[in-house]
Amino acid sequence: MNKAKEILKLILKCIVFLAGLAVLLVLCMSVLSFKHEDGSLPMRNYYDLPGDTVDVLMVGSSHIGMNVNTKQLWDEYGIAAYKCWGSTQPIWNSYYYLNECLKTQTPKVIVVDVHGATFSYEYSDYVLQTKNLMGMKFSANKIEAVKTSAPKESWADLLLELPAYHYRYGELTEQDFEYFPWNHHPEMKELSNASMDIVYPFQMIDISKTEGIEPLEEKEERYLRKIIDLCNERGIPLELVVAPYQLSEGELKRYRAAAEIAEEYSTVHFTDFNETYMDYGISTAKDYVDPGHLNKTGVPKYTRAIADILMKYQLPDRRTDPNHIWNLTKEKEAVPVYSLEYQFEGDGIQRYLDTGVRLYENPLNTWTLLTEFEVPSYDDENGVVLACYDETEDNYHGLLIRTNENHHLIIAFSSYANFDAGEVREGQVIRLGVIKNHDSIEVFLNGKRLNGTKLGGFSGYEGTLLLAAQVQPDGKLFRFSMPIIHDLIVYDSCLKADEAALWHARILPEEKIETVSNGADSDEGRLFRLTETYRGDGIEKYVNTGIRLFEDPEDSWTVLARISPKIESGDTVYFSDFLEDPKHYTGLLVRRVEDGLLNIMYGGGLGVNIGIPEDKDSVIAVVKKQSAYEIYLNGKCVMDWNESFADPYEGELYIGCQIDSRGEKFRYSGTTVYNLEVADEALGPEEIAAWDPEPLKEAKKKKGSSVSYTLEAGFAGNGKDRALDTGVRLYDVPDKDWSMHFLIDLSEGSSGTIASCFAEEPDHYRGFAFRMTDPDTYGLILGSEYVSITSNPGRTMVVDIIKQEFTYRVYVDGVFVQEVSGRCSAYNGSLLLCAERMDNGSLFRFSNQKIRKLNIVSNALSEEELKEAYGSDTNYR
Amino acid sequence: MLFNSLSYLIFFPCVVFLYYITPWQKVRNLLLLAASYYFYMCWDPRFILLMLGCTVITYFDAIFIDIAKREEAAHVEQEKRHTGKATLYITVTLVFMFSVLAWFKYANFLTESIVAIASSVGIPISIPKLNVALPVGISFFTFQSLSYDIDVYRGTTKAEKNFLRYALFVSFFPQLVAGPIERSNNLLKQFEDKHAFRSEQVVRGMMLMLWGFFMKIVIADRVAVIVDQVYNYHTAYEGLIPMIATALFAIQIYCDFNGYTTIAIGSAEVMGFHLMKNFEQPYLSTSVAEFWRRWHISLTSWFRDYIYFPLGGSRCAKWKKYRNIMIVFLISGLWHGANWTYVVWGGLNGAMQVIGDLFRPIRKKITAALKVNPDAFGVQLMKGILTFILVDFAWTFFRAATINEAFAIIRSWFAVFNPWVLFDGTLYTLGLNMTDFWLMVLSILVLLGVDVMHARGISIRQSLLKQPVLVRWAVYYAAILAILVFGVYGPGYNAANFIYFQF
Repeated sequence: MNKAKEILKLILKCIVFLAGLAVLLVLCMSVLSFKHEDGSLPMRNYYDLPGDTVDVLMVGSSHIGMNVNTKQLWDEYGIAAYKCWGSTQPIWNSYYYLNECLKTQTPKVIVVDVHGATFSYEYSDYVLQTKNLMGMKFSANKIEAVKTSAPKESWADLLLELPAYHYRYGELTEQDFEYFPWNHHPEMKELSNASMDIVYPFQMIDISKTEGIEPLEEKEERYLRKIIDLCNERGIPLELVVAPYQLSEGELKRYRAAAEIAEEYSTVHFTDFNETYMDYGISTAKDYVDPGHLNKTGVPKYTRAIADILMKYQLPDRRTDPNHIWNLTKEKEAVPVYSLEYQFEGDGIQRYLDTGVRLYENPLNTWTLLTEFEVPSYDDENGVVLACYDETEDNYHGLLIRTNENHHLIIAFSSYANFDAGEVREGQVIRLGVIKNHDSIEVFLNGKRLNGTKLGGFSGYEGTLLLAAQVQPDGKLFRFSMPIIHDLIVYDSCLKADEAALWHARILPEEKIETVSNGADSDEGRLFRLTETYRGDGIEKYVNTGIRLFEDPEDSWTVLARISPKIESGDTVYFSDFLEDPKHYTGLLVRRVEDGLLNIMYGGGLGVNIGIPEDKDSVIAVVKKQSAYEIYLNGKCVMDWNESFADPYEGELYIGCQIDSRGEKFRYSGTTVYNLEVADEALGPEEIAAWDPEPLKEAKKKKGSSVSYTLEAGFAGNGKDRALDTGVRLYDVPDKDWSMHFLIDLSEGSSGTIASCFAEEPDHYRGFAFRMTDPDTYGLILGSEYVSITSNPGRTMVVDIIKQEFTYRVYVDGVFVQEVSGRCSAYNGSLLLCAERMDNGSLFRFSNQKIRKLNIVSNALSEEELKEAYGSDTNYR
Repeated sequence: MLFNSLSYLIFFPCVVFLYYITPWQKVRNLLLLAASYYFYMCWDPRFILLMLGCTVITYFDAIFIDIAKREEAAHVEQEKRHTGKATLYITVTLVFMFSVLAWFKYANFLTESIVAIASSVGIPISIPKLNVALPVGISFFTFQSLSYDIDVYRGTTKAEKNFLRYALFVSFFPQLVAGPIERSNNLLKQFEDKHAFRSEQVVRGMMLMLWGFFMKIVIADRVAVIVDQVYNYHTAYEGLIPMIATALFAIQIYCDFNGYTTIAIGSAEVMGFHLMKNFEQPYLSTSVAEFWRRWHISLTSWFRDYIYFPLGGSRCAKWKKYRNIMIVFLISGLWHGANWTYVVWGGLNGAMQVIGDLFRPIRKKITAALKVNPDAFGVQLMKGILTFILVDFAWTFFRAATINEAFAIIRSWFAVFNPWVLFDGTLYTLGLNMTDFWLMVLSILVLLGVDVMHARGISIRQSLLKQPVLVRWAVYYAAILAILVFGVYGPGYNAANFIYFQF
């Protein structure tokens, strides 16, 4: 009896011990398990959805996962769709995922991307196996899936799982601790290319002449039929789709085989979007991130195409169901209450910007303020960047960001709670984040947490957030300052600390300060008068006069201009108000066709060439009296009244460029127009002869932000997420001078971007980039030109880039390599090390380069100066 | 079947379960024999015949020797004359067993050496390479069965009549492929006793197994990453890095071999068998001779009993003693592998002991003159470090693929003085990232702690068993999870073979 008791006790002890071990193992596995967003997580999160909440279930490879945006389906159509996908998902994995999903849901329609049916292998590779299997809970279905997906020797690893991912203890992130058994993730999570703004233009392979069918592999066909049978069994209609991508002839033939299989069943529809993608506006020139996947402009189009085929099922609008899980778990997105539209620059006299945001209306408000600005000049005594600060004596409180007399950056919250961020240089770019959570404040400076504090109790403040000025207690503005604010966003909620720290400013356009006087000019009889000499740079510079010369073809007017015969760069247009449509040329165009020869197009497309002196300025007058035109050169009539009937044209008179038939500016010219006036009548010969004004002054050349910079210690990227934002804006004024000195390590295995200040705008790439292309070849983008350089044997390389206006000199290891001229327009992004910036501000192309030294000075150094400054790094010859 | 494989984790509990529920000892032995043969056949089923052959021959040889001995005893009494039959039997068996070993293990080594020597004196000869696979653990089971026959011949043990028991003695799976090389008077008689189930004994055995797994999977296999990286690409490393790799190899081979032995001893203990100790904190030794008394004890004692003593041991002229030491260590080197690197390694270990012995009087005089207390901690520590350096120096030859490679590595230690590699992150580029590197350091410190405690006579298992259940279980859980999480196994790593299998 005793022995039996003892045995029972022992067995019980074993069970308790093993149960404890199992619990600990489950916890460990929850943390260590793969969190593949492109495979295991879509399946893992599916289990957290309550039953029958999904109307459209999608399975397949990245062709459905990355190309379809279920959030868009919800937002635009109210369709509750879920993608249970995996990277390069073979069709058998689609089948087992489907099997698993149908255990808890009965969708109204199933969409399967059949890309996985065209594969021709027995098993996918190991990583893909983990992605397409490890999200599944242990079950008979999973055992079958594993046996089908992997060779025998991998079965144990894929089923036990821990052997496959136990090594991840060294790479755990916050996300890994969000998948304990008690954590649920039923909220709508969208991972697709919907925010991917990379453009990869390519051409589809010409498959128009491809004929015939290639049967699917036996295993692939078997599982495609299993999917169809499963859907038939459950009575769920099935949509087989093929996403538009650069498919090969072989794939096309296999899709035809899949289509034939689909035809055998009345409940199955087959849609190959490669035949119809253009009908949905999908373009291979701008809608793809790579030849297989769409980008942020392509995803919405394909999503609508998918919505099109779903329309026939009359799916319910789940947005109206308040109890639907995605309505219940809808995350309150942080919405900015204020967002700067243009970069703002104070002038220290009277310019300021009132955002209208009352940060302290309720002293316990929560908010997040993110801004990037240039430190005001040392001459700016007030130094206010932004302020929402009560200046009432003994009650100073609010938010005030300014530089003090010692050139320290101060972030003040009250007379006792203020942070000194240390000395700052004029023109230095500062990225600042402030999170206020009730009475606690956290400040982030250039990606790092600077400080945090608790604010004492104080009363509310009704004042609004002002840029470049402050307000006195009596409501009068004072302390006008001269900061340049690149970006400012205010949220009425607390962002996460790392969101505030890692925030990157958007590249906002510069504020357009009117350079033209409007039609109500005080000058009598003048519709327009240029106020400063226009000198084009041939890139993006122009003046829009706002005058529509041909709005009414019966109008009379006179255009008077003093022009220079010299053209330094770009195209040759002096001024134009011209419809560039070969069938209906209309308007006025004054341009140079060759040295000493002017071409003037007028009225309904007539043209005349006029010789002009090559060595001095010329005064041109074009007189229009209804449909008759007269032209004067230097006070003398060179074309007597000539009739030309023009159609009405809404275009405006531009100086230095033209407008094409779609309304886009082009032919940016390097012409100089000293004076230009538009009179509201046809002037007589005397008035024209008398018009000889002095050339107007040129606009003061913009200085731009400071570029002086020294890398304090070496910097090495990790190829994943580490980059250094130097804050230096090399191209905010594109023709400013600078000299950059790099000393980089030529360590093996490093590749990618070393440094970049490069505008990633598909139609308008420009700026500076320094990239490693091959183990010993490096590429430099200088403005708009590409220069290839080769490293010398050794462990390091010294590269100097000297920029004078638009001319660049390049030195490698002290030896002069090349001089190029690379004109480009302004770009407000800052210089990054070991990464590049997309035009939405987020970083990408992280590299693992090692930069030992980086020095930037704000002038173009001569060879002697280079030698003197950096002679210790290399031998300048 | 490797100990660190899923198959063993299934195989072992099944065997233990069947073993304890079987009430009859004979059936238990039959079960263990079947399990052992299955265990061996998992590598290559063909070689089971070889093991069976060796078992049959040594079994009958022992019986014949026993009979001959008895006859001899009768003769001696009657005619005062030896018949010499027993000697003949043992000689025949020795010749046979060594021939088997030579054929499978040394045939190619021998022919290659002959070709190399001949070509070095200008005689070009060519002998085709034999396509012989090396049966796993052959050196272990041949030595174990030979020791039994010799013991019977010497009369220190009785011939086992029960073939089943003897076959189990030769093939007992926990110690079959990498030792300890058991003696008949320890293990053989344990198969006669019935081992009752005692939970404490099972727990103790499992604790040992866990510690063995920790040493093998967490320490040895992690350290191996750096060692392999540096030794496989030794031309890329100079100065401190190859030195560190060599020091780490000492740790690797210790944890690898001791890990296996510990799992073996633990596995046996779970079933109530007590195998002999094979390691006794060897790196805490203060001389090379002491190191060899603590390292691979079962092999060293085998050589001592069956070669060193018969040659005269140390109770003879000094030069003979040194000759004996050198013979033993050269053979020991050769036993470890059919490669000159092992011979040099064995020779170095022998030579270091001879030199140590030669200089002992001088050392004593210096210590006395300096009035240094030889038992002081500092002196012992210095001696310990020096011993480690000497032993580790010899390990270079053991690890290197060729003698030339070993010399190249030794030269590379002194090619450059680069202490900065300790601080500039170079250590994290040798195959282990920072986390894994420091995990390795931490686990080596745990190993050192355990060894020091054992050296001081503290039994960790005993102390642990006295703790309340919560503490005990917490330690068990921690150990199991540490092995499962921090172990080097799974896809990406193939379950690493134990180094000593090849010997």
